[in-house]
Amino acid sequence: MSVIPEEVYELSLFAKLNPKQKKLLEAEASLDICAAGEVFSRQGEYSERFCVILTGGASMYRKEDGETKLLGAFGQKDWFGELGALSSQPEPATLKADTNCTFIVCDQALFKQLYKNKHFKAQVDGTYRKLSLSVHLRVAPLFKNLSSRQLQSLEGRLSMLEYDKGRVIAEQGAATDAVYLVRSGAISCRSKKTGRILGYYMSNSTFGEHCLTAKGTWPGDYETMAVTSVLKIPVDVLRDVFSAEPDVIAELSRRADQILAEEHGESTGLYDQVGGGSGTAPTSDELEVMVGKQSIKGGEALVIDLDRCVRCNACVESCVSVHDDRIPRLSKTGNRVTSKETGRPVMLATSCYNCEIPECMMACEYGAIRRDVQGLIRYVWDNCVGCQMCSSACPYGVISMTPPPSAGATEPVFKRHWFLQTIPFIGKKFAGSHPDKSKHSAEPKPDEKAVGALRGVESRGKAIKCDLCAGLPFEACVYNCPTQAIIRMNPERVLTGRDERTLLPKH
Amino acid sequence: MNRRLFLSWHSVLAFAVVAGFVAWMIAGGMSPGRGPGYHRGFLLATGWTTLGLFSIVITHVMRKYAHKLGVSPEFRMRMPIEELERAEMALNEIRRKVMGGALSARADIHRAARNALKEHGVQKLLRIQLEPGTRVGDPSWRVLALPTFPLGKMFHWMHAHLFYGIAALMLVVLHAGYALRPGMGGSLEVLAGFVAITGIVGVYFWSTGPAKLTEREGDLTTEKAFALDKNLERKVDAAFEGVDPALHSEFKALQTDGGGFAEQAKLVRSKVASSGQVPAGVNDLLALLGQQNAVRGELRALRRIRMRMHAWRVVHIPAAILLLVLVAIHIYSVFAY
Repeated sequence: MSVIPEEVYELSLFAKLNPKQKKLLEAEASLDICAAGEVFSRQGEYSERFCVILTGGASMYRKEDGETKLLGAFGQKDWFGELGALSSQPEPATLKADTNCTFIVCDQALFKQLYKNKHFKAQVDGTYRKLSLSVHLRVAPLFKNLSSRQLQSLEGRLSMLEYDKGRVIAEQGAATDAVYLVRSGAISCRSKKTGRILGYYMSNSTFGEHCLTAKGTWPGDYETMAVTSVLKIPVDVLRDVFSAEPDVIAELSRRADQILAEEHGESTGLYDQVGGGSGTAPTSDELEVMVGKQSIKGGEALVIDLDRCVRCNACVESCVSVHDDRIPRLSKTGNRVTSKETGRPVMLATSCYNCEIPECMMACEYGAIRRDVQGLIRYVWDNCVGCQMCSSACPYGVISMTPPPSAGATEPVFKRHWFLQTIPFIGKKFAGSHPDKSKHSAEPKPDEKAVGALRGVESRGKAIKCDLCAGLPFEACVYNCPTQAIIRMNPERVLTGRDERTLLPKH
Repeated sequence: MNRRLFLSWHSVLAFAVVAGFVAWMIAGGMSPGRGPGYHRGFLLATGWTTLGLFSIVITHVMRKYAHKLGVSPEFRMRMPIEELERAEMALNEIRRKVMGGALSARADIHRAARNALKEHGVQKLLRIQLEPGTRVGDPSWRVLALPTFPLGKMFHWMHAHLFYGIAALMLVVLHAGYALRPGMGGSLEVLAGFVAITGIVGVYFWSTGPAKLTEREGDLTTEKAFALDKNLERKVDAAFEGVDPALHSEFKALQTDGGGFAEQAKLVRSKVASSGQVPAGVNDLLALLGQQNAVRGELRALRRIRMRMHAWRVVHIPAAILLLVLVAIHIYSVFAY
């Protein structure tokens, strides 16, 4: 029985859903209650939930430069969270309940299904323009100092565009006509002349500030690296909207100059926006390697120091030992690069990078992949249907599929200990590891399922990837390496040597 | 050379143990072993300490295999991910307080973070590490929750194995009194020496081998070469189908595990010389066999380096097992007779 009341279809948002979408909404959506004063979603956290307020009211705050600003109030029938649900971005603001509230909560998969409905999409996009646009625009350094009124005056004059992977948005040499704000996805800027990567742009970065300065042409080809959604703010619109306020145009031009100076100077402002970097941003060569190898999208990589790795396979064996389906999540293959810090060759092993733009999660239509509060990408096993969308979407090929349940040949996954059961006295310790006698081999015990302990049958025919040994006090591969050759770190740090903790110490 | 394999506080401790015994022997004017002027206490102390050091070495091996078999005690610490997430949210709250300046003293932050972990019962899984903020806009302290690695990383156990193993050999020499007597004592001494030397050789290969292997590998790692070889094998099998069956069997006969490409090429040359034309399908096949030969040659070279890196274990492990058996017999015989 659905928890969704019939009255929701009276809301304009859900009014024109087709029967299939209604059925989906009733089956998948949940109701949530938030007491007055409680925080429902917090700035900077990943929530990826789209919520509609049924009763009560809430306020939205954003913390900037140490100050908390009230951005607006939400009441009955209002919604929020579309930005996170659409693009897997962290929440741009905090939402706090003013009175006791009830919400309809749609997870990312459900939201994406509903977003296919034209009416629903128009409503959500319309509200985004009205309420969230000014919040989102303020994230961009260019618009940081504009007031809410000034930002809202841009409403209705901007275009929200979506591009497939590999599309050139702007061509080198053409006149810059607009400022672009990346909503989701990633864009690289490559020089046609040298073929070099000049920069890259991810969620909340802007490009095209040139249009506000004297330099009026694109410095390179701007190409999408993934499915990318952008906001296009034509320069004519800016000039037109702020025609009565010449100070604003002057301020925007000044900031654009500043941003471009940073880009071309020692410290690339672009890079700092994304990497939270320091003055030692990567050089063009390093950026090129990272973008070329797609490491740029990765959050954390498993790095193997090849001059230390004795190829004993302890990492893979220990990975096997923590997963009861006996399938390693780690493969000792991957891109080789030279660490700038140590000058030694390292391998970025094909293990989950927990990307900032998780293409697997965006591709999953069943809500089987979620991001936890730490930003790690996790599987919801019950929802995985083994459709392989995630594994084909993953740019690093780190997601693999377990054999389907029908593949009987691999059935005795617990056979590994059978010989140990024959040892007198201690043999009983291994009881249950024989497929026939196993107490685990049928259905997983509820508590085991809860802790994500993959028990043989459960993970059959499903997608698997490195789960960072979820729920255990170690990362097995790092824990069991006898020469400390394997370590988890940010891929950009491998090249820039910018790791404060010196995870890969010098000799 | 990976010098990190030799840098550890375990080396200092192991050296201190041996130095302590040597100092005791010199200061007491004692003779080592059971020679004239021997000291019973010194003899027993060296014997039991050696056993203690051997125990550490064995514990390392047991810890390794316990983990491999999935029976290591830390497997029981597994917690639901939801609990870990709740703890992380509590830590986020603390991070916010640090950012806002409500918490600034290092000790206070550490205590609050530790309490948050305790509240959610995940203190055995996560430990708190505070790092000073380095960049503009960073909080005064960055609160990191890292895995506890409860039994210690294998890397540290490896150091313990290495240095306490060497210290044990030195104590065996002190225990035996530099003499190499026939019988149990002498066998033990020789075996302990052999185990230690093979171990040291192993560490040498482990510290120098990886760099050599990496240099040789280039872009073609052993894993890749293996996969490439399998792929080429499939292609070669498919290419054989287009070749005359008689020639096919001749080709197969010449193929050995190590290659046989040169002989195959020779066979083709002789066929061409005799008939004046290249047999159908042979050109493609030869090209594939040439590639396969090159990959297999590379694979052999890589395996050779790998084998050299790990060959010492073939003698080290059985000798170590034999040493333990003899040590057990030695202890039993000392007390029984």
